[in-house]
Amino acid sequence: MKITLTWLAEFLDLGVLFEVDEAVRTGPSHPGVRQLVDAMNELGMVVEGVEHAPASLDGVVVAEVVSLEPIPGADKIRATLVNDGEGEPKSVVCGAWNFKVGDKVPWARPGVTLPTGMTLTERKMRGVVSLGMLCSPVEVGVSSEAGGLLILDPLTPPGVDFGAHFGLSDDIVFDLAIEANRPDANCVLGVARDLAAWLRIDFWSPEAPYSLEIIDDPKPSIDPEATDRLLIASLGGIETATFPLRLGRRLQLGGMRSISPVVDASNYVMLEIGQPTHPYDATSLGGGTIAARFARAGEEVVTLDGSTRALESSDIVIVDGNDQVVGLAGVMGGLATEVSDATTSVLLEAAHFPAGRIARTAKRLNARSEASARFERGTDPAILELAVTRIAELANLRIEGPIRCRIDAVRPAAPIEVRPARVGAILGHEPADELLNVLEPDGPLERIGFDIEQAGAIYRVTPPSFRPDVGSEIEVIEEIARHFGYQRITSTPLTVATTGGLTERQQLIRRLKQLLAGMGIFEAWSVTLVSPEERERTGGAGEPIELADPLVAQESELRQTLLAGLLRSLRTNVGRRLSPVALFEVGPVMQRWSVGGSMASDPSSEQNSLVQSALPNEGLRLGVLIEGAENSLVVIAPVLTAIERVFGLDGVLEVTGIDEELVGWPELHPGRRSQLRLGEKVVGVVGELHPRQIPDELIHLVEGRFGYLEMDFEALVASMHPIRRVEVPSVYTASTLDLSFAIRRDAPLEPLVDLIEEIAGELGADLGVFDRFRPTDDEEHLYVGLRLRLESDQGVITEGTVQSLIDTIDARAAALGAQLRRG
Amino acid sequence: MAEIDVTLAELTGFCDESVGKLNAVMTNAELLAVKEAVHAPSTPLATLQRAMRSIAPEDRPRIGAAVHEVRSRLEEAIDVNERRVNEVELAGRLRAEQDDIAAYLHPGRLRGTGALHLLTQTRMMLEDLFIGMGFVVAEGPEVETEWHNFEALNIPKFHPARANQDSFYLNYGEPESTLLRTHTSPVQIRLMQASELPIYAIVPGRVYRRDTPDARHTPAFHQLEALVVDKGITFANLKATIEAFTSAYFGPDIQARLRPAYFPFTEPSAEFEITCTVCKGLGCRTCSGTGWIELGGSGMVHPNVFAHVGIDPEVYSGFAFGFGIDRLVQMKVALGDMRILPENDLRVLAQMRGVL
Ligand SMILES: [Zn+2]
Repeated sequence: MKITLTWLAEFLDLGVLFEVDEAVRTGPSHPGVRQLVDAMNELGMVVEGVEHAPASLDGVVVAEVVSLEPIPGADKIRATLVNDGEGEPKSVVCGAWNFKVGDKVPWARPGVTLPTGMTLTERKMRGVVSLGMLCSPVEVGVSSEAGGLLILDPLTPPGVDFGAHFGLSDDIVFDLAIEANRPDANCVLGVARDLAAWLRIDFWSPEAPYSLEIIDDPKPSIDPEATDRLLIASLGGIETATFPLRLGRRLQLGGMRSISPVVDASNYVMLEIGQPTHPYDATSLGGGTIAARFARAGEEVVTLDGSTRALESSDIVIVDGNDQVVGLAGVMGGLATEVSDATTSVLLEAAHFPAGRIARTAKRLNARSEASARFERGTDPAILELAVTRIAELANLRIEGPIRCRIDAVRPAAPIEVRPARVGAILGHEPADELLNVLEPDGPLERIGFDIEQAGAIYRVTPPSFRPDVGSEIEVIEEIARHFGYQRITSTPLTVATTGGLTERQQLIRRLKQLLAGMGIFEAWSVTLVSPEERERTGGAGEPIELADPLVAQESELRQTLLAGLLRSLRTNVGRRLSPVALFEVGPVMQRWSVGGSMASDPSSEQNSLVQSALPNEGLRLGVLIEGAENSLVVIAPVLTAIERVFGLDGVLEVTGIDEELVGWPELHPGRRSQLRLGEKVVGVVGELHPRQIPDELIHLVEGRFGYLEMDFEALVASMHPIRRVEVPSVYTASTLDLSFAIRRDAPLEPLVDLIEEIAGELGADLGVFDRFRPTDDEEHLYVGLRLRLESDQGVITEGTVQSLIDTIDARAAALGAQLRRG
Repeated sequence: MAEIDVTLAELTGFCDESVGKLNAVMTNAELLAVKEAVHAPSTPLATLQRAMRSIAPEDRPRIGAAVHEVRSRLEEAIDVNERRVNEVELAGRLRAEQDDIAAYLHPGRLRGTGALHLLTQTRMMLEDLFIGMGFVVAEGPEVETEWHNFEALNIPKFHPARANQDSFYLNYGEPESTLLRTHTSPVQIRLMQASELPIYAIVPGRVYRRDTPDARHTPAFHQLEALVVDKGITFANLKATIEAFTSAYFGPDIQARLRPAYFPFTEPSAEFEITCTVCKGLGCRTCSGTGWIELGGSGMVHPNVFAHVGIDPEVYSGFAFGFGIDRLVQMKVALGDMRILPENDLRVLAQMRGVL
């Protein structure tokens, strides 16, 4: 919301603090302006900008058009002579067509720099001398709309200083962010009221004239749920309506468009006192009156913006005397009853609507307006008379006949009991009694308009009609804190009653990340939202969980595997010729529960105890993507080994082949993939990315292959084996045995490893693959070298023991299709 | 006996000659050849040793002593020269193995160790700071119910605050019943529902807003929320806790201040600001000349929120505050455009190896 300093000064005795005239000349750096900015910030009316708005009208005078002639050969401009009250008439060439001889218009002399920034000169156009310029409303800063020259009051004497005569002064514009709980502060009046209480200066609250005649006009009757207070007034004199230029300038600085004197006055009053009103063309209203009710299904209305709005029974509508819908209450008026140039009589509506209803209709119809923004926060039902009389006064209109009160069902606010002890207990300021000064007679709350009565040990606080946001003790306490000053409240260090720390799961996440970073892999942070195409490529066969209303189609559903996000990063890096790619991510994936089995669903786990069935299956996973040479298993395997060791899962985590697609896991290279199992449960996959996962357009940039591992982190945590004892190793000389096997290329290695470990029994201290190659002369076999270390607590390993082990291994390995290569 | 005398002379000659050869060898191979010659069966030494039995007893001590002396001299010469030749050969090998570590110091920026993401590093620093103050770290799901995300936080349907948190609703369950959480605050509700009191917890996590991405906003970003619920918790405690956190994280010359604000789930509510870290409060472009930067929101837990989770607000009170983690990262490392983060460009990630 943008308001100006001179406007504020109409309600606020700023003169006791600083010279307003001087401040508007000086600009935002003036100490008085700075004091106001600080005060508004402290009160929670955040100043987002302060701008100097000089009138820039020095040298602009009122001139009378004394002649108006065409220029031969020019059809867009005409030659005029104007009388500026000094000497001979001046020659000015003008491109506007809305004026005639005898009109009074603003004339900017050569040398003048207008508010728009244009500097005027003497020049010749089509051979005609043109001195300066005759100005439009935009050029002198009094309106957003040009439409030709600004035609002034015919009684204005030629030669007078234009700015001074019409009261167009320098000003300062404050751009304020008003919080949703401060409906009262959405206007100049409200800001002034709060400032007056804070700065302890006088505040002049405008009031409707006492002589105002108001009569009840209860027919046709009105649903009090639709509006609890509705005034209507007939306004006459529309043909002579005007709107002061001085106020037009404020509207313009406030960011409002100029439309017509009556609409401008309505808008001005809304910015000034916070009450939106709506003028109707009275003759287009059936029965010459209006009422409010809830819409009926199937009803429609064409609003001012030309949209046809289909109504629902939750919408409040304004109807005419024939019960025809003529507007959306508090949101937007109807096109058919709009005030136009042909309007001869205006009916003005001033009403109070239920905030929640207006918010709902405005949001549903996507029709938020300045009016709805105010109604949906809550307006002041007591200010309707003032709004009506102020509009009539500003637009030079007559209120014809009495103002008619169509309904008045507003209930006065109930007093709120405020306990002094509670104030201290919530705010904690020391000494606590100081806080209560805010509630004292002539204290800030009373100055704002709260009615405060001390009743024994408690206060009875009745909020004013413009503070519908204050309805409970805690809201009064906030108001006390605000006017006491947040910065004045003391700081009291917290005594924390708990011992801080990370849970085991949280520590494991950190350990895991540090481990992977240490292995040369970068932590990635991918988007959780993916496209259907990405899901197709990266697994998650289950029905996706889609966004109801995605921003972009590329991010329209929740990822079901981590690969979905990582693959996007892989493409980015490959496309930018960055290699080797080595990324990991620890993050959630979301699947429907029907996918089942593939995610942590242990209800006792910490994460899942939080999740109710109303939510999808959301579990933390680990994904690791590493670029390797021709066979990426070489680079991804050490990662899996390292993870197994950290989680103590050596020999617990089973690595087995995959026969068919695993639902909920990424698809991998069919010849280089394994599933990871803990007992019966699949907890991950490991292998090489499927060539299909690399888009064709990138293939020529890819140098290696991509190893991939995705695991269920929750399952890792659940099966974690911590270090429980450290074995003291044997002191006797060990024996190392290198065994070379020829095995079938399509046969798994795991059974052979298991067999050797079984045969070595207690003597087997370590077993590792040390060599692996594919002989060129044997397409069927793979040669694998295994190094077995033998140790014993009992003594040195003898040659005999070694020999008998070799013989046993030789004999039993053959059954697995593995041949021990002797020699 | 003359025959033996002659042999003794030969023995001495053989010895002198062998020692001379040994002293002259330069390689282990040459040494081996000389050693073989010295130990050959045809040498005077071997001959005499074989003949010892046939030597007269009175001559044996003299000849024995001579043989012994020659043997000792030869063994010593072999030993000395073996060590000498080994030294020479080692020195030669080491010379040949000369290398420069610089050749291995330039693996290329993308090779070598990986890194934790800056967001993780920042989150860990923040977690550790609050853990030091006695807080625990809590988490919650990213997909939330509308009830936890809004309703229980005193943000009913059509509340203006919902308009500021434009949401990604999901096609899951009833329409508009589930969404990607718009803030970490629903975890407050889960904590209060599930935990024993008192609660001193922080909640870091990813949140989502349906905003078009720009340099400072991505649809997904990170918040850290703090929640304290205990007997006797006051706004004064909130102030002190925010001050303690900001001076611990940003340094003692950074001040914090609160100003009135509105959040439906706290009352009284406050925005908290810190001294601009760029200009230290003097006023600059970053802080729009005010000297202050808005960091987050805070306030006392609203009694309506307590009512939703069954905590008696007459017995317990509490405060909550929250702020954006991404913003802290952005401030710390002068990251101009947040949209580059989800790209995971390796050139960006490689810059995260250091210490924040
Ligand atoms: Zn600054």
